[in-house]
Amino acid sequence: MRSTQEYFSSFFNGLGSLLKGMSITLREFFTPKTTEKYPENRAHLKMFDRFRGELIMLHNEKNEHHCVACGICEMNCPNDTIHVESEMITTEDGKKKKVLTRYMYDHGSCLYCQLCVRSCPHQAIAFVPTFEHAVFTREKLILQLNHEGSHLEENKAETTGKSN
Amino acid sequence: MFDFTVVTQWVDEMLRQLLPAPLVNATEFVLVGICLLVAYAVMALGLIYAERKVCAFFQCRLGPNRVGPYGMVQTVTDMIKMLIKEIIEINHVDRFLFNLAPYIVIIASLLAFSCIPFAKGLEIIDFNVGIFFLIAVSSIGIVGILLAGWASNNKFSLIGAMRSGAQMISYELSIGLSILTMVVLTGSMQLSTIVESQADGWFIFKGHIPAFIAFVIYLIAGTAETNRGPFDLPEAESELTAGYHTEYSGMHFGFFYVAEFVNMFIVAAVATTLFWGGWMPLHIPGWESFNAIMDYIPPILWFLGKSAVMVFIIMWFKWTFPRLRIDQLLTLEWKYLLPINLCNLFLMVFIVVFKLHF
Amino acid sequence: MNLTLLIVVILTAIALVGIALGVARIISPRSFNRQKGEAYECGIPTRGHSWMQFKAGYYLFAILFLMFDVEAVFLFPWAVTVQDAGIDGLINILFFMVILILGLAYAWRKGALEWK
Repeated sequence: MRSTQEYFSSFFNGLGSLLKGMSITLREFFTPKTTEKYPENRAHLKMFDRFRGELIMLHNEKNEHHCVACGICEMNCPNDTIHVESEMITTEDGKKKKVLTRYMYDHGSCLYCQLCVRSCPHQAIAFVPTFEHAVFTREKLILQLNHEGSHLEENKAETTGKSN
Repeated sequence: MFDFTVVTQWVDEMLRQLLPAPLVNATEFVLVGICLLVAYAVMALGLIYAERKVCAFFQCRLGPNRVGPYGMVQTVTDMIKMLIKEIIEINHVDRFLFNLAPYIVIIASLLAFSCIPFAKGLEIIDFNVGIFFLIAVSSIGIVGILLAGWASNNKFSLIGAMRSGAQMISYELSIGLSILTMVVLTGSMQLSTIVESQADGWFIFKGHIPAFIAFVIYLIAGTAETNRGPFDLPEAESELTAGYHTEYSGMHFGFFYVAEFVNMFIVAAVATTLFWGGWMPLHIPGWESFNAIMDYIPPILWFLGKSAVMVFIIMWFKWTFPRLRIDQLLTLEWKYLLPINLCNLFLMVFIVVFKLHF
Repeated sequence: MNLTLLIVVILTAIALVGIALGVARIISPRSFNRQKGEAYECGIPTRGHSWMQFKAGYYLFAILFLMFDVEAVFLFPWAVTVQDAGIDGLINILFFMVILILGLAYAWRKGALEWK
């Protein structure tokens, strides 16, 4: 009868598939495990380059940054993480110019969505893959990204023109 | 081979010299009880640790590796945690039955554990109907589970316990019949005799095809009997909504948990005893020097090693296959395993009667 | 001797559970809260009686199990003496088993082995 044939064929098919499954798991048992044993491996742990760990403002060796305080990053941030504090100064030519005084970044509310980095017209800010940021109070997470005594790099602002 | 009765005799003589006669028996019983408890507890802790490590390795991760070297102290801390958890009193439960269920489950588990021959002379209970007693006693555990589900005032516990009961009694049959197959090969039900008659070759080699089929059926039915592996529908329900031990907390639940792991070990140990030679070392007829080397390894290490392989296979089942539904479980048993078992039994009887075994 | 050891093992089991539960009751915290005592139904209050009737399917499987388990009990003494009983014993036991296998076949065909 067909049902008897089905009975036996389904039985042997089933048995074969079970054994195949077991061989796959056995192979998996012996593969080396990729678990990172943090913190014992801190000495040679390297995070991959595109990992978004922390926002920094790029400074060169003369302590100059590229931020013109346009505020585009502050407008693009979905979480109000960035606050750009600027002032109007008069240059020696007599022109009024906006310069950055403090670039405040609240690390506690950052989403790491990188909308700020992508919308910056001068590539002044970037993400770095450092990830050890634990502190004991929330206030310590509010960071000022421009370094002390840094100023805008002059020739870069001239060549890209007035974009704000 | 080292005979453990030497040790028991020595202890007996020492006690008879030190203590008056009526106290000697009592002291011996207390000593037996303490050794049994220590062995049970250590086995349970070791098995839980092994389960977590083996499960992790199958899932491409490391298991516990922080608490103690390679995470070996993890289970001890887990047991301490379970002891200090609160035992929540539920209203409207059948208080006597609710408290009775862990007792019954542990009694069944401990009785079965004490029948197993770990080495020559190293078993506590050695009836001449040993294997029959073992099957009977594992059926008592089913009563405990049904009580647990019934006594919790919870519809889901009841359903879980009923399903678990139906599953366990069905697979009890398969276990009984596959053990029967091996009893046919041996001619005795006493466990120490079964092991000793495997001195010239393990049963899985002696009774070739039917013994192997009986072994596979026994392993499948054994994992289903202990609610493990792909047959853990009652427990899976407890991971999702409820199961027979949902209303138990803290150490109450700890007993069910421990009993499950030791039952798994008992299934593995009985498989070792019946099919793989118990504590007998591997002897290949004709290779005398090889046999002499094998004899150096103490029998209890042989037993624990073989049981460890069986336990590994049972864990392998669990982490490979998806869970079976209740109707699939029962179909597997009544329509596939039971007819195969009966045919296998007849095959074994033909082989024994016509002396076609090795 | 074996029977006394059996009693010893049962008493050990009771002692294990009793002592562990006693220790747990002593060192575990206790707090009383009316909602903690209620049955668990994923957070909502329970509806209806908890001790409800259960399906007849369980009964069918229990009866089938009973039948086959009693058969297994009768098979065990025969299994011990298969060597001595030989072919005669096999024919005799075959009569017994055929009746039970007919029972299983009947249950299979009638659909008693389908769940519910």
